Amino acid sequence: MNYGKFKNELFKAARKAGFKDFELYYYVGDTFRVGIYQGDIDTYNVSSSIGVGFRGIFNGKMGYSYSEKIDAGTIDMLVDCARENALIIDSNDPEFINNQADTYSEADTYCDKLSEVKAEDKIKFALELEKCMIGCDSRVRKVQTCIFGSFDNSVTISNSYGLELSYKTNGAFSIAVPVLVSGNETQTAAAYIVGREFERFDPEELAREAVSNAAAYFGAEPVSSGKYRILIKNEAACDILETFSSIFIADSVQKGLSLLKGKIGQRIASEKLIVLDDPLLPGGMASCPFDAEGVASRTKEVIRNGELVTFLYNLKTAHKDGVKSTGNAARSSYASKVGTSATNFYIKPGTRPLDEMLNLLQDGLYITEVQGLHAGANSVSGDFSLAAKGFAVKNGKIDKAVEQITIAGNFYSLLENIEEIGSDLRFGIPSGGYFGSPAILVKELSVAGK
Amino acid sequence: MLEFTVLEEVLGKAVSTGGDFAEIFIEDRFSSSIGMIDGAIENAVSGRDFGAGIRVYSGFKSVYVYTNNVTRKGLLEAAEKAADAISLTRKTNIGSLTESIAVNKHPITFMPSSVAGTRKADIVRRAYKAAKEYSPEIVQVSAGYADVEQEIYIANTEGLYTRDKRVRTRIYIQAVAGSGSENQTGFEGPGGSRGFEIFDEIDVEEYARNASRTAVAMLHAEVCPADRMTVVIEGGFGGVIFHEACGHSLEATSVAKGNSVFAGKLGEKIASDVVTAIDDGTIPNGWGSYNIDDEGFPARKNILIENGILRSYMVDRLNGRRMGMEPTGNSRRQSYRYAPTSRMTNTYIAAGNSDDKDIIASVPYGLYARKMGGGSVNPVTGEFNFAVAEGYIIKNGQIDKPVRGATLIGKGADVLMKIDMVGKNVSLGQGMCGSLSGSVPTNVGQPMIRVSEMTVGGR
Repeated sequence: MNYGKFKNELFKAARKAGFKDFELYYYVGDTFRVGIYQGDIDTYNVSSSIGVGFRGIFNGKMGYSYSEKIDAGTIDMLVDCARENALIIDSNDPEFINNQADTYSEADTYCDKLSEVKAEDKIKFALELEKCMIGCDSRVRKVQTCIFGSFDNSVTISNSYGLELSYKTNGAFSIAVPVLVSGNETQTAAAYIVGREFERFDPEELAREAVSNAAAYFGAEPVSSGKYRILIKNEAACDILETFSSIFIADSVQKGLSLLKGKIGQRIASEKLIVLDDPLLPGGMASCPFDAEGVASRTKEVIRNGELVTFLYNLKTAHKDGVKSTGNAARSSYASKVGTSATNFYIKPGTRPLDEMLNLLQDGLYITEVQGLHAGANSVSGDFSLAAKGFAVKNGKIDKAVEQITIAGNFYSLLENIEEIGSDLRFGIPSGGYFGSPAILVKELSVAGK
Repeated sequence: MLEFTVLEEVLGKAVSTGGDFAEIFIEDRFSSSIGMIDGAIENAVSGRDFGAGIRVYSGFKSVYVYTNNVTRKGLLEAAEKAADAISLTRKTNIGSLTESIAVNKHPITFMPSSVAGTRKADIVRRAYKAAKEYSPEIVQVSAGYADVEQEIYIANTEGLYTRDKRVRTRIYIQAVAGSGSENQTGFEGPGGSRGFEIFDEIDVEEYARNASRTAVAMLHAEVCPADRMTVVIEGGFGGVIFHEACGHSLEATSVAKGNSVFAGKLGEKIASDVVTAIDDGTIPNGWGSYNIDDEGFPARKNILIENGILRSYMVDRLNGRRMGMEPTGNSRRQSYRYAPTSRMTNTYIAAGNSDDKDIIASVPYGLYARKMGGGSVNPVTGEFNFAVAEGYIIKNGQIDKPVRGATLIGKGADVLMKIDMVGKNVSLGQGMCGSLSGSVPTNVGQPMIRVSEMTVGGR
């Protein structure tokens, strides 16, 4: 479709319908995904999609609409739905369409080389990945997951104040889950890689990581219930950080869904903790030059030496607190409302590698995996009780594998009880935000086992 | 919709390089949602999803291409992309399309699109008010409404042309009870394959009050102990235990490649004698129900486990090829953006013979899980977890003090053998299930059950 023409007609219709300010959000994207099983392509998915999101202020209220079908009737549908939706709103909180001029920094969001990688090479990578998994340990019976995927999309935001911004982003990922069998015991583990530099994707390295992670669990048993010193592996720490990241969102705080209200400038965590939100991070998978409202992105400290520095804001919530937007407006797609999200959000690494962290742990548990985060963690209360796997640690050395246990605690207490932060910063699989953490040593968590 | 000649041309293109089966899935979906918090309706979004997905099979291999360009040109391009990924020299004859439409077993009285947004907003306000006014300790309520009208059209190389319309409506309430330094939450989210008439049938205020009741109870609860205990799980959403411990491991999605603890176990005893479990996509107007699945097979009532013996898996077309089994009407996908695979619909443990009061009275010391949250499972190993949203200690056969914050874990193969009492009154709870083919609405359910021993992940 002709974007300029569509936009002009839409904006004309919006003005005619009585919208004062409005915005068009336009998305175009392609995806590719190949799955391998038993030496052959098992699944092969490609897509190309477009979508438009419209929102506008009518009588002071913001109404939203969206469509994936662009035809003669779309403009009327978008305007009518948004207007009907605006009429339902009765909140009196002021709404904003971005009318500020801004200077935008370059953000590392697109890799041209990646866009030139051919499908055959992607397939070759995935085939090699399965071959390596099966070849590197005789206990690998088969592979549950062996996939490679890539995406390429662009976002354009135009509004009634003349804002006209666009950026494109791409990336690739691979996930490997081998199934190992030894005697009566079956173990699995996942390894993944995410990034834009395809040449850095090494199938053998990824295969070995997945297989050795799984193999290390053989003979795993629960430990006795009780309180333990815990070292959380970087990958598991990313998952926990992501689950609780909403406590830093101003909207959650303002609505009483976070216990951080009124705590700006106060110590809320161990003084070793520094947490950053950086949409300009080189290589960051959530990098962007501007947020979902077109406000320029900037790097910010959220926690500095244990002290809460700022919440994450969009225009609406910033106005409520009398501050400037931090450039964290976000929407999960053109079909959703504009909220707030972390971008590249991570705990700044310390200086101690893993073996030193284990030595500091001395006796306790090294937790390498947590499950059930969507259910067993509650960001409103901070409580968590999660299925977990890992290793018992004795005198600073890994001892036996542990499974069928839970770790439980409260995230706010955990922040205060961080004793040390490792140097092995690692990021998780991006979903909206891109969350990273090194290994974290925690004074104590409750464990349920046998 | 597109003419048969166009659909047949696209299907022909899709199998032109040797594929042995192809299918076009077209979806036209209209959704609306309303959210309320802080005493006011804060957001309302509505819009249209529209797209098509083309699948091509060659033996066990499958290719999937989706696009928003649902025109002859756009679909031919998509079919060509799919065909390129399968390149063999075999030629497949395709059947000419014959329309076959299933009778609608889930009648709707008031289509959501015929109901003014203000009336939907009023339901949200009622829920909000009832939850907020339950107690001064309720510091926040988040209430929402969502509806969807989804039209799907399926055409395949076996000559099937069919369509279906699915309508779903849901309201949800999250209540937050706070003391200033602590927060606890409660949640209810009733829904169904219904239109606006659902609000004449359910008591919105009662659900809202229940969400608040849970939040307040948990605010005053101690932390749950960390221990192995006897656990009694209330009926309704408690059925999530079966969904995670067993359900996913019976989907051909995992079983077909042997990636399930229950693969190869048809006819074997995988659960205790008192467990009979059913997946039934035909329950009238059930949240997880439909007339035809997303491949066009009619919904069915499938008895999965009968008195502990494994009788059936849930099978889709592709995985059925691997397993040498017929599809069971369980093929589902979140939208045209996903290839379908076997999923659950309305899955529940059937009524047994025990009275609820006898179940509680039988426990000298244990946990009563009155309300459950969600969970997850690794079907390969059967390791599962699910969260207790509202719990109570049972002491000497009586429900004692409230406890908070525990996740129950175990392995599917073990826990099914440890269900030793099953109550008489089945109820169902609505949820969203996520897996390979995206997020789909499912009912979980059961009567009250007793599990002789589980690991309770408290503190």
